[in-house]
Amino acid sequence: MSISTAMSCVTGVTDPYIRVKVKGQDGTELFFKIRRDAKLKKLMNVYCDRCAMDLISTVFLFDGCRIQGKQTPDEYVNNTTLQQL
Amino acid sequence: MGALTSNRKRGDDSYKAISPPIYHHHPSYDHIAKRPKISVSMSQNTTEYSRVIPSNSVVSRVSSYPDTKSQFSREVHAPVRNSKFGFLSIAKKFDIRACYKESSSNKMGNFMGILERYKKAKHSAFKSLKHFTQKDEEFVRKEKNIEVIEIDDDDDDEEEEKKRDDVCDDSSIEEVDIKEWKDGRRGMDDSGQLKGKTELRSMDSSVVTDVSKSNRKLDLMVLDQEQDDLSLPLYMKLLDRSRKRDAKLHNLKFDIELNEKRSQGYYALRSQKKGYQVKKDPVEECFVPLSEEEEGEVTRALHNSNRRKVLVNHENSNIDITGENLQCLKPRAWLNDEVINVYLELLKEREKREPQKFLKCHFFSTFFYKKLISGRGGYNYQSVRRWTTQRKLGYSLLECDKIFVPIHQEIHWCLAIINKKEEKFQYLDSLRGVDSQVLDKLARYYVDEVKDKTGKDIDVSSWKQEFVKDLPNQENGEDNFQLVDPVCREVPKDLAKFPNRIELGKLRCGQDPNKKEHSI
Repeated sequence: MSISTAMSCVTGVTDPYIRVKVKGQDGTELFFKIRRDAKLKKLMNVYCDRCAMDLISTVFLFDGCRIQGKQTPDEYVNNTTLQQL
Repeated sequence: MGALTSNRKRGDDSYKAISPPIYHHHPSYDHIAKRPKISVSMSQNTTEYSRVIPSNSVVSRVSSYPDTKSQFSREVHAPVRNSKFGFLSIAKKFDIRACYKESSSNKMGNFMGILERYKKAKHSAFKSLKHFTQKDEEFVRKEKNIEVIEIDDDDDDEEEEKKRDDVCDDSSIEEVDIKEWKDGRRGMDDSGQLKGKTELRSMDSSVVTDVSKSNRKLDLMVLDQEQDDLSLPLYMKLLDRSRKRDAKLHNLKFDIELNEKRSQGYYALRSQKKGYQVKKDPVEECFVPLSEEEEGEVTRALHNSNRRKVLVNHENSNIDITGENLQCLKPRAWLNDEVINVYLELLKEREKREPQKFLKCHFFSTFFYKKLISGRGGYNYQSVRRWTTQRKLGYSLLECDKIFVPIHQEIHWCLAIINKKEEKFQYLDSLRGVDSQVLDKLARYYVDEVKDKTGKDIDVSSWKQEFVKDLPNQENGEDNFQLVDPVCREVPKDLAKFPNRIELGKLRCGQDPNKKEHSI
């Protein structure tokens, strides 16, 4: 069984950094600050380390879509209207 | 003939035995004796011959035979055939001539000209021999007077043999012709099968060659005409014969046409049958067998060495498919949610490819229901609100006839369907489980969804809750997710006919072109 983890972003438009909220299946929330053009792989690794989970058995979703480690927050910010969380 | 043997020792013996009389007859023998022994045997032969001649008056008359050569009507300019058996062959020829007379009266009527010329030539050739009685022949054979006759009779012999060849050729052709005619008849009786048709065709060609051969013969006859006036009417006879064949050819032509029409009829029937078979049963369509290549691909993908390897990346959903995921399709393995997700994605893609063939459906991922019930109170619409935006899906969820929601019940996979078309909520569990909670929550979600996206309030209280019963039974604790395909094809009957999980997985793996394209 994979563990799905919802991820949301809080951001200001001009800020090179973006705040990402990762919500676990059990409802726990973690906030990350990451560069917009950095790969989300970094974030995933850190999250898995913190929560003591296996990256392979973890799935990160954004609006029901699966996120790959090579993608960056920019792709989601530009493609979706992120007003909140 | 012992004297002619090539064995040297024997030659020596014969030399010893016969040499004394030779010595007497030939005073020059001393000179010859110094030469090789072959010459001795030669000389011995001649002496024997010379010794025989005076004793038989008939043979002496034979020796005068070469003079009759001038009686031939024409000379034959052809390679001389080397007749080994000399006079014996002539003896045979007598029999052969008798045979020819019989055969010519029976079936060789068309080659009367050749036979007559042959007879004429033979007449002149055998004129000189007609005083030979049977006794004489035997005697001559006994006395081994072959050489003399052989040389003299050569021309006649050669001509005769040539003619015999001709006649034999003709007779063989005639036989073939008749035989093939019979074949053709048989072929026709076979009621226009292809075989008969081809036979007829071959017959046609053979007849053509037959005619061409006779034409060749006609040319020969024309050449002979200058010397032999008798051949003109015979030529006409051959023409008549060929005209008779024309009639036969007409018959054959008719037969061929008949058979071709018949075969066309059969083809038409066959094509009608095919047209009938084209209408495929939608259930049958699911059982497309894999080719050998695909089988190999499947076994490779299921192999343990690919367990951790990412075999395929499904681009649309960003799902990496590893060997491990595929291995859960094996019998008695536990189904992975990744497999279900990919499978549902593929079903969606298939529907997009052929929208007219399938109902308009939406497939939620396995995470949807979990997310929906994750909030406080076991229901949180807000967390999945943005999952179904028009921009994201490319279509509105509310257009869909059926919405599929895979549901994970701790250790068992089930399927819930929001069936807008028939206005009911369906729950499919291969273990015959009943969970009305799920359907209640889905009904609530659907109302919220419609309200959020269109602003309308709908009443789903009249919608029925159905727990589908006529499903294939699941054995043991193995998960079963093979129901989705038939349901979205709208063939809820005959579900039990569907293949088990591993077969289904194979079919999907093999059939999906995207997977192959991206396979590493």
